Amino acid sequence: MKLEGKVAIVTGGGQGIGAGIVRCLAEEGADIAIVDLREETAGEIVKEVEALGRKAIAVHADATDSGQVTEAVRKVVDAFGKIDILVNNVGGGGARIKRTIPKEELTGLRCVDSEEEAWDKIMDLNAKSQFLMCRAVVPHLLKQKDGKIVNIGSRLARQVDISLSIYCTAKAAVIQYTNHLALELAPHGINVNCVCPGDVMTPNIEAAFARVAETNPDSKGKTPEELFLQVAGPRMAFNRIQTPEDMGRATVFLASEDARTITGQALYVDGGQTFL
Amino acid sequence: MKLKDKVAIVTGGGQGIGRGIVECLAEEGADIAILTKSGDSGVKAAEEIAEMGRKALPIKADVTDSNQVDRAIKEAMDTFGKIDILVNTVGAGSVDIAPFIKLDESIWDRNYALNVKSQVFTCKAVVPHFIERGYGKIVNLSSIGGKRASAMNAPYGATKAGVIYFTKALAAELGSHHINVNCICPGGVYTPTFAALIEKHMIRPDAKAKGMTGRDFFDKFIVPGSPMKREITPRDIGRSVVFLVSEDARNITGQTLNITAGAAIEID
Repeated sequence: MKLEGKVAIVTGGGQGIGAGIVRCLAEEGADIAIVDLREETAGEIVKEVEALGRKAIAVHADATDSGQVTEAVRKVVDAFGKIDILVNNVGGGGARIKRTIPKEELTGLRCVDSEEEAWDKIMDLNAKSQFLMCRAVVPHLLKQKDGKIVNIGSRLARQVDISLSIYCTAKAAVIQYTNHLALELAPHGINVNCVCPGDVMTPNIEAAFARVAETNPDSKGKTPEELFLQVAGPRMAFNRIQTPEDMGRATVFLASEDARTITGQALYVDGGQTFL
Repeated sequence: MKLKDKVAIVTGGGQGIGRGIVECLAEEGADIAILTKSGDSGVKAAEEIAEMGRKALPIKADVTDSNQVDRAIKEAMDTFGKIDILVNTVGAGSVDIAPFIKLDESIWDRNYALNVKSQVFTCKAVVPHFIERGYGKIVNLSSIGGKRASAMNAPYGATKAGVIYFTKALAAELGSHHINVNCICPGGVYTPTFAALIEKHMIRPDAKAKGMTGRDFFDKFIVPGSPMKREITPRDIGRSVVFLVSEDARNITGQTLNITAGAAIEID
């Protein structure tokens, strides 16, 4: 096992890609602290990790709130005595922002017509959360002169999707923050890298495709897998489902001594979506 | 073990980075055909791999000659019955350092043959077998010199950049056959080739370095010069190769992974 005796924090580890990362880290021997807003789902993943014979706790915190982040990291150190690995996985597109711009002021340009609240929320969720977590955790890594940080980016960090301009911009920020932190922490023996997922079949995406199959006549009778490949397949070199565990295994590699001289890198785990 | 019952071909596996890759693949359970130009270093590497309980086959071949490559791949197939992994390690070494206007055609040809054509030939010989099986892993060694421009080193940099493009083009074409093709760009790794470069281009012109060995110079100036101040070893490259050819990286293709201890961080 590559991570025996290590303690890892995974933000948003209670579901989706984060839960896949947690499972893979725990399979390699790490004890896990899940920092997450949703206590119920985080609690379920804690039980899964414990069943593997590892220690795990769920800490309720909003990773975009500096006070809550500081308190969460204190709780992790109280519980485990140290931190070795930080995986900044929290992120998202900031769905359901209320529209307030009057119709007559809209330009019809999606990059321009966004609500200010959407910009702030998406930047906070994807970029600021990583800064706040690093600010709270890095002093502990500096004490050990050792540590691994893996920030979760996205294929959209370098691809253009007009309908997701704020999200793409925030994920590009993740890559530059990773580079800067990597360079600054390199002399301290701390590796900082980024995993950039392509389209991933998370349980939420699977459920969404299942709903599409029920409600959309064109998709009737199709499985979520078939619909995933219909949407994402043409963009990929591999016509293959990607799972949260694919992201987890790449995270394990970057958090292990196998990658001891790799830092400041963005590893695209995307079935070939970004280079084509 | 991640590579039990897999068969790997490693070109240039007798020394330097290739040797580290061979060791790491064997530790994870792979049997290995080691292609070397001299033959001797391959025999020695194969003996050590056999001691680890793996099968190892040294094959003497100049990989810049397509006939020799075809013969070598046939010998590997006859011995092992299949190939799962191809690691293209042979390269020119960053040794032809000179002003552009003084580089004659033979230097360009040498770099093109060793850095690019060697990989094209081995891939051409192995890929039909991969396509037939709908499975295969290819890792091509490029260099951070193929991404970051440096003066007086155009033939090496241009041909290593060629490796990166070749990797992506092949990945795009072979994805539908479930074949992963990736690339590694190492920074400075202490190998016999790099030692020769250090002695010729760094120690000899530098009065302060008089009497130093290549290893002394590497330890004193090159390792501390990297942001992590950490030596990049052939085994570091080998561990990344293991990751890329294992099922852990089943959805990674067309990528170039920099292993530089923090050097050239800003370069994708």
